[in-house]
Amino acid sequence: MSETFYALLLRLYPARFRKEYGEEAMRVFRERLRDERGPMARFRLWFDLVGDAGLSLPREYRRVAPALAAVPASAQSGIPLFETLETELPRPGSFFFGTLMAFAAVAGLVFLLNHAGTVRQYGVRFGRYASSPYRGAIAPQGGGAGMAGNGVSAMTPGQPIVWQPPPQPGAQPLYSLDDAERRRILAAVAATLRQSYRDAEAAQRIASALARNEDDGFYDVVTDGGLFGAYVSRQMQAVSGDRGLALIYMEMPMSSAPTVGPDHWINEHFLLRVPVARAAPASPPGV
Amino acid sequence: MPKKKLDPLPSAAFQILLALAGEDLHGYAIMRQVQDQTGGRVRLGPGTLYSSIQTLLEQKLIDEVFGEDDAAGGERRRFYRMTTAGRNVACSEAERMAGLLRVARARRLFRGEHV
Repeated sequence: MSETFYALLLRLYPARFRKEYGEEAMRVFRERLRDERGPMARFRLWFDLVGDAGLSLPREYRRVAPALAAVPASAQSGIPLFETLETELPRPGSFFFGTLMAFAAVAGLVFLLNHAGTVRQYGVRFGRYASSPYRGAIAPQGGGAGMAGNGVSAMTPGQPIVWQPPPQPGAQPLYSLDDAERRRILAAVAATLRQSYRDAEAAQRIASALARNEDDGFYDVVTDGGLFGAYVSRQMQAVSGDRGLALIYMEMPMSSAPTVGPDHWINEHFLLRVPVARAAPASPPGV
Repeated sequence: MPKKKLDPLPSAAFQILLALAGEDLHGYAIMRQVQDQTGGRVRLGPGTLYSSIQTLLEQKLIDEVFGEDDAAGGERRRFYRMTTAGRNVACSEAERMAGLLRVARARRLFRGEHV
């Protein structure tokens, strides 16, 4: 058992060290195990070994491989140089752990992509109305248009836009949600879905789910409009399986109530996007 | 001429050179010798021992020789032998320490039987 533990400890060392001194180190360990008997001696032995590993492991990993050390001197001749650092094939376990680590890295990246910047993802979709390099600095003037809080204009193509300075850092938010406002928005969302969504049953399920979440206090701490829009959008999508459904928040208030394509006006800061069912293709004559 | 890597000479490397000053020893015997010569204060673990041995080999301060271990029934194993360069480095280090000792004595840092 002790030998197994020490063999595992030795595996922490670089392959170069294990290859050169692994057997010797194991032999030294066996000899110490043979000579140092009794609980105290054994405790001291393991204390020494673990402390020794803690000190010598970083040193061994910092040690430059001889092949690497030889490269600069050989490369001075100007001739391209290729060195093989490891002459042995990796062990099957290395392939396994490499694969495992690669999967973990990809999974972590996907997780981060899905959970970071949820507010902004709607901005990307909204960009088809109008896109601008001056994200966050576009503001509508006059009626008939709005601006998303994430900086993407909600105007229809061709409408005039003017530039305004971006909000100063630390400035008070233009819009903050309270309990009553959230309830009004959710009620308007539910009513719009019942009226306009192509699947009446799904609309009812979404309305029930949103109402239940509000009753359960799920949104109680959410005062940020963008965050609220993202939460509601996710829940609508989860209930319906329709990723086109979205509650879009616009920091700059809209002065009128446009209905542009699939977007329905909820209040001066929110638009509800309800995907429109595609028209069925015309049947060929005689069919 | 030893390279900068062992300047100053690490304590473990110096202890190993001191252990090899008398005779050729294998790894475990070096460990025991170091323990004896320091009164049990320094116990080299296998990692530190072979890491230091590798450095000393790279700097040509010790050589590796194969021999039979009588205590292990004539089993063949690696022994280490101090080279001339290793002896010079160990001497320089010992002189440096002796110089420090003289200064410590002059400043009356020692008391009683150690003086």
